Amino acid sequence: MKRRILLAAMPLATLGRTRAEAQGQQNLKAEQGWSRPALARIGTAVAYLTLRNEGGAPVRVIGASTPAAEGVEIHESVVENDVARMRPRPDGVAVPSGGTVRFEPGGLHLMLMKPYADLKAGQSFTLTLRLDSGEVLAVPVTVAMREPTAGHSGMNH
Amino acid sequence: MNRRTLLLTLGIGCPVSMALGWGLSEWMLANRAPEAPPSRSPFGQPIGTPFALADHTGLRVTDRDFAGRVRLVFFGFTHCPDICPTGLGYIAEALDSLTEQEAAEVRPLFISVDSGRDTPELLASYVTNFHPLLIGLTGTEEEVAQAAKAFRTYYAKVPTGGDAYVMEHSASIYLLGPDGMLRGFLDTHEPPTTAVAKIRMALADMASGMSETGDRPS
Ligand SMILES: [Cu+2]
Repeated sequence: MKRRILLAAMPLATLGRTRAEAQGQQNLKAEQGWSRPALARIGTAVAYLTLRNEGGAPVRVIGASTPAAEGVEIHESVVENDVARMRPRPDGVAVPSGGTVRFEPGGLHLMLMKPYADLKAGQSFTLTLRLDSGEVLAVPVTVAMREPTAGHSGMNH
Repeated sequence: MNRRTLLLTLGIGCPVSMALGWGLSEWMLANRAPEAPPSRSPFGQPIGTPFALADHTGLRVTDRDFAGRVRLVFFGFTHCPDICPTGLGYIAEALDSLTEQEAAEVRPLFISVDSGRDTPELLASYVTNFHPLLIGLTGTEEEVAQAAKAFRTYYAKVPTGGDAYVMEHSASIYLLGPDGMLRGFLDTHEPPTTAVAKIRMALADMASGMSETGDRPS
């Protein structure tokens, strides 16, 4: 009995995993990756992007890495009673099915810890997002003084 | 109402009320936020005096050095990855929209609340990244505390493990008239054109001769 369930469950688990992996790759889209100029000796930099989940299941971004810095952390800036604070988001950020999540100035951001070199406007680097499915998503990030305006309409959020 | 309509109503009603709820809280936040600073620092009062700090070229300055000018004042620290670059980028965008003549009458001040790490030299490479007109100010812990007191603003050191720390600080961008009175605040959620309009109103006061006791620096 036990053995039969195990045998039956295995192909299902494998199938489920393969499907999740394939979906993660196709369904989570990252757009408008950008970063601000930063000095390596200050030791912090930032990256913003927009995530769009075109799949039928929620996807969670649980971490990130980049060849441009020692580490990447998911943070959120909050302003309460006029005081600006930064909160870590150790559990990452879920993108609901059909939903969009914006990492943007004054809100969710990817914080680059100890960039290896100064980031200058016009440069670019790759940010690799880790998803809860075990999948990864590589996102091109451009260093710019200002948020690129193409692709979305205005300052609303 | 039959059962099908009820289900249909529920189905539509829930997302609608959720959307309304979200919109309402957004609205409440939007309406509450600007109230907080004025309640601590009433308009029409002189603010930001006295202070003595070093600018990013290493020169000693006091609030009197900026008297008679329209001032934008923002507290922060160079290791701040999001809020400070956002505020400074916004100020830079507003400055770029002013005429050269107008911008020459504005003193945008970035006052560091991180005296432990922000030397004038580090501030110089940081602020000039955003705009050539930006003036970075720093000092000893006591000098920074006095400047914050003068602006009735709050900051605190928050350890983040080991030797690492961040500073929490006010997100306000103060707008001072040439007379040293608080004119209001710039809000990074508003389009930069709104900031430009606010700065121009303060500049108009200057043109009409509203300034401090006349010892305007050359
Ligand atoms: Cu952060």
